[in-house]
Amino acid sequence: MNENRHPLDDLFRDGLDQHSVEPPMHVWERIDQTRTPVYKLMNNFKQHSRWYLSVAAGLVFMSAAAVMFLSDKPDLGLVEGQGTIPAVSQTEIRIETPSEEQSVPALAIQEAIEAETPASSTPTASSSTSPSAARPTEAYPATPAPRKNATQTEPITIIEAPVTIENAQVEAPIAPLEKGEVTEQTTEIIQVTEAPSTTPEAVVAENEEIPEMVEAITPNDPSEAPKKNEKKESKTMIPLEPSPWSIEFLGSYDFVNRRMPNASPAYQAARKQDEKMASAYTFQLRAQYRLNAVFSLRSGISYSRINETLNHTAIESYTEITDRQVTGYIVDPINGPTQITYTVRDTFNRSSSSQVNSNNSYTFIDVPVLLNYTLYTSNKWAVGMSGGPIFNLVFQQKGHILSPTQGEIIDLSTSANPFRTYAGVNLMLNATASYSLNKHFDLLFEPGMRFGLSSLTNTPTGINQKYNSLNLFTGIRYNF
Amino acid sequence: MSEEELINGCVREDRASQYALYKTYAGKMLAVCRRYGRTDLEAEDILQEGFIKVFDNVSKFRGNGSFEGWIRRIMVNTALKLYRKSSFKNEVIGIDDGYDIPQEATVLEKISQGELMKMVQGLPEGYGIVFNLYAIEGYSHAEIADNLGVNEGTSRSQLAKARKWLQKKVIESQNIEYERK
Repeated sequence: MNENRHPLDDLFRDGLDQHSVEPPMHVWERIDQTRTPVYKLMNNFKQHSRWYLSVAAGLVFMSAAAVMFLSDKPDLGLVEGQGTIPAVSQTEIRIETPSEEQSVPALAIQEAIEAETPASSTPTASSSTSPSAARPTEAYPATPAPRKNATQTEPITIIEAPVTIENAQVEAPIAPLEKGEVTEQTTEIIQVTEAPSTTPEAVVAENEEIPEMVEAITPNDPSEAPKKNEKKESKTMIPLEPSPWSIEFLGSYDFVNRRMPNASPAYQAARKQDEKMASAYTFQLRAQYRLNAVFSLRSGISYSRINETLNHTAIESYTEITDRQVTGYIVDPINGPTQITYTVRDTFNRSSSSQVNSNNSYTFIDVPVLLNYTLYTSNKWAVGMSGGPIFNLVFQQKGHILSPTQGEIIDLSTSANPFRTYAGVNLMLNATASYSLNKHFDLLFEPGMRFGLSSLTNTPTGINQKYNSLNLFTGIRYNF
Repeated sequence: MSEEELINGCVREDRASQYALYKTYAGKMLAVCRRYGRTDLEAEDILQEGFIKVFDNVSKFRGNGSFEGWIRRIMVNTALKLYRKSSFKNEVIGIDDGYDIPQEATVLEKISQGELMKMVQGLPEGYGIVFNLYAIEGYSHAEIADNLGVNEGTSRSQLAKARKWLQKKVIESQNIEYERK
């Protein structure tokens, strides 16, 4: 504790130690409000809002990603004898036409079947036949005309051919077949019906008509085979429809303009003099869903921050009066010079200044909902425009500002903070341009404007402060 | 209602006991808060936050020392937390040719509590907090340095400046008194 007491310390300690003032009732009312369970819950949420929002954003993102991925995956299960053989996408099947000794066309569908057969399958056909033991099946009847080039292979492509298996007696799932093998067992136990599809189908069935494609690749006249196959190939080489989903990450350096339409010119001038814009930036993580060739919808989470510096000088003027004793002489006509002491009072008009420096920040966490319209597309470029509302989730402020009413500095961490905790709805309009880097990645350029529609300050303050900003977004898009 | 009953009631979160506790100590504590807050609004914020902490932690009061002292400590710590949280980088004040008064030459007449309070509240923030902590709360320079995150030399220097500033104000006050007489 203190070892060197000063008379001033004692003066103030004795005078103020037990000093008491009348406490205002509204402070108790505010304290009383905080004791309710609802307030405690809300306060807890407010204190941890960043954490909760991060978790929520993560869950939304993961859910969206999961939906996007799973929506493209076919059902692999076979339930009670009914199921679907998943689509085979651009899987090349090589067919060896039979040799003279080998009257059965060897169909190698190993790749397709292996790719789609569950891992737990118990092979039943793997040990059934060797190439020399392969025999014709009804599904793949023998080709009457032997070919000179017995080992010629002809690739074809099968695209998106979902096949539904009904009443299949599949106790052991389809086993991978070796090149040149078609097992009797396989063809006997599977009844295949074609699923409704607009794409070409490849169907393996017992006692069914030979699929059109198989016919096409087993020509009677070997000389015509290449042409037919080419036709078939061109017919079936339909490009895969890309996913309508993509994800975008953008960052922007912002140029911000503050508006206070309802504030007095003097207050606006004082704020303009004291507060300088330091920096402003925005980051957005968005998902894009392509509605059609020209329209797409974009939404996600946006984090914006505006940094300002406050340099405020408060001048306090006061008058200082001091008395001093002066010794001098007067000439007494009777007694002669006489020494006297008199008091001289000096009056000084003085001023003191206090300097307040503060770093202010305004943070917005928003959800933009933007509709994009594509005006022009080329091989690499797509140009358009987007716009829509931005819904604010969180608006936080730190630092100090000049009070709109009392001319003093307000700490924004106190209840005197004139700002709202919710920034309302804003509007965003962007010009959009994207440059395709490859199949999956695009570069994005989006200059645009963000318009503050709602007042950021409470109504009684009479400021009606808003921000408009010019955004220069650049970013990257991943197309699924 | 005795102090013990008040405390027990607050532990049970009894609203009447909490109100009684507030009525008993809020006046003194608001005076404490006003010495640390830059404005009355800020002082009320400190008072509010301080009492919320008191109600939340009253069960932790073990009776070591006075209950009023415990509450006062919470208020001061709340004010210091606000001070640390504040992003004020510096605050300087220009004092024009201040003159020192020898201790033995100081003749102080009775100065009202209101005037003393006004002087303390008028201290620049950095000086004010050090003077309040050292002269009125009885903190040592080491404790002040620890609480404010400064070194002890800074604390001593700020205290000296605060005393000098207050001396000037006291003399002005005395001169005004003389003029009235």
